[in-house]
Amino acid sequence: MLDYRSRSVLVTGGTKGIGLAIGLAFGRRGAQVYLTQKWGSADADALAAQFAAVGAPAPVVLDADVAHDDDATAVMDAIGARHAKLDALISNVAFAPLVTSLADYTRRGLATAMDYSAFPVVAYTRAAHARFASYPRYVLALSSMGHETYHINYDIIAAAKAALETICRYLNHRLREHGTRVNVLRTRFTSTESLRATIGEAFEPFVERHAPGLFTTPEMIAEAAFGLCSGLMDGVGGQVVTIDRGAMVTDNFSRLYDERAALPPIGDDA
Amino acid sequence: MRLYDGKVVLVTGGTMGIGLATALAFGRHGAQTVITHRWGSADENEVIEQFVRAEAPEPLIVEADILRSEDTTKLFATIRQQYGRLDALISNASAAVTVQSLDDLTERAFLRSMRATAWPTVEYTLAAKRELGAYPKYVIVMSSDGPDRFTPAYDFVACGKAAVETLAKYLAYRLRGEGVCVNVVRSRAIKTDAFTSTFGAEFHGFLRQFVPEEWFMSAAEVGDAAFALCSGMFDAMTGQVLMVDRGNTFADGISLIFEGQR
Repeated sequence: MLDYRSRSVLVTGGTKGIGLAIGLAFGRRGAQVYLTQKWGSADADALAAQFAAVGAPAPVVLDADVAHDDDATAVMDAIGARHAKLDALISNVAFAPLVTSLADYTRRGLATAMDYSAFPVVAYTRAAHARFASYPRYVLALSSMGHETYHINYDIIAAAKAALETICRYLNHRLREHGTRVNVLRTRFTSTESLRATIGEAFEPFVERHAPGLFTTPEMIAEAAFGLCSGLMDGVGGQVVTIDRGAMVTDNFSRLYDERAALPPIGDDA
Repeated sequence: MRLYDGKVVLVTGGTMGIGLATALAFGRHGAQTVITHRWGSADENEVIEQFVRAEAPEPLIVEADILRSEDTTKLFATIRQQYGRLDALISNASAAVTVQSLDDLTERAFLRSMRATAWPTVEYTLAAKRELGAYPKYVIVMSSDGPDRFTPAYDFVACGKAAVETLAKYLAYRLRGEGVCVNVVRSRAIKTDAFTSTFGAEFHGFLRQFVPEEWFMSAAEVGDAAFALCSGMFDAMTGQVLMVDRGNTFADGISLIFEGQR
């Protein structure tokens, strides 16, 4: 099962960040990887080169807006041209308006967040079944910790992630008779463009300076994503797996206090 | 070349049930396993035969009682002499007094249960450093959903599991600078001898009114998950509790039964 040759894997939002890292993790085990993007912004040659560099088959890049069901159907048709089924679906795309104050909360913003960040895992799972008459063996959704603990500017997206995790538990239950495993993979801080866009450039160096070891790389998340679809984790279903280098337990004032003698004082960042 | 060729893995209570399945999972990937048991309870030849069938290196079977610290020291001295290293510790063995009624809730039984359920993980982790000079890269604790949800007779087991899960999180913090990953694997409803002896043979038949036979988990599923956590794919995961139940716990309740009746 650690060998994914001749298998098909779809990663939504797979042309950068965690999505791309997951695509590469499957690709280097031989999978044919399909990556979606919304704005046609990816450089297909550069992506192909990254896959070639790890010995992976060239990925297929598809334009798709995850909130449009027609796009999901077109994606499955593109996969169906070469494969009899979709083996693994990685639902990675998330989008929501940022919130800096209560004034930024809008009904429409929350609806958009749900549309782009919570529902696509259902839409794509169903689209796969409509095209192939079978569900993917593995469905994995990417989440974060913003609904468990305060994340800067994250209010609305956090609400959508809470919904996503809940939907995945139910989805796992509903698909168990089909042998499908639905799980969620989440992290606290991962070094990506998306995080920089949400909180700004200064955050990661600040964390590294004052609470080192809390950031994960996209590759760390990707290895775990592959692990959950490797066959070794088939006993795991309907779970939320946190890959955060222990941050869930140790990112708090108590840790900062405990380590204060060894780390630069906060406020000393000019 | 297999992933665990040349590596050494210790599984406490490794001659049956989940422990044995976990040892076999590592063995299949080339690991030299050291498996412990108590009282000479195991039929060693039968255990070894299973490793042969799995094309795994023959395990070293050692008698070691988790309640006796002198056994722990002796065990790690043996590992030092034979192999000089330990790459993963699977803390699986535990023991606790079962509780049928309030009369069984005694301080003595509570303390013994905590000692035998929560302490061995800490003792074995520290012993590895003391006797071998290094912590294992991976520490996995076997637990169950008992701390969160009612399980018959399980009062003290559940307390011990809650405590060991908490200790695992703190160990993850204290060992963070050493590159050690400490995680907990929870499982439930596996038809092992321990399941039958804890809950009685009747429980299985009772459950079968509501769920198909496939609902029951196999020990191998749990063993594979424990191996995956030690495979390198989950090296950014530490201080976590992973439920290995295919989602069964989520659906376990009167709602599911009601739905089935309709």
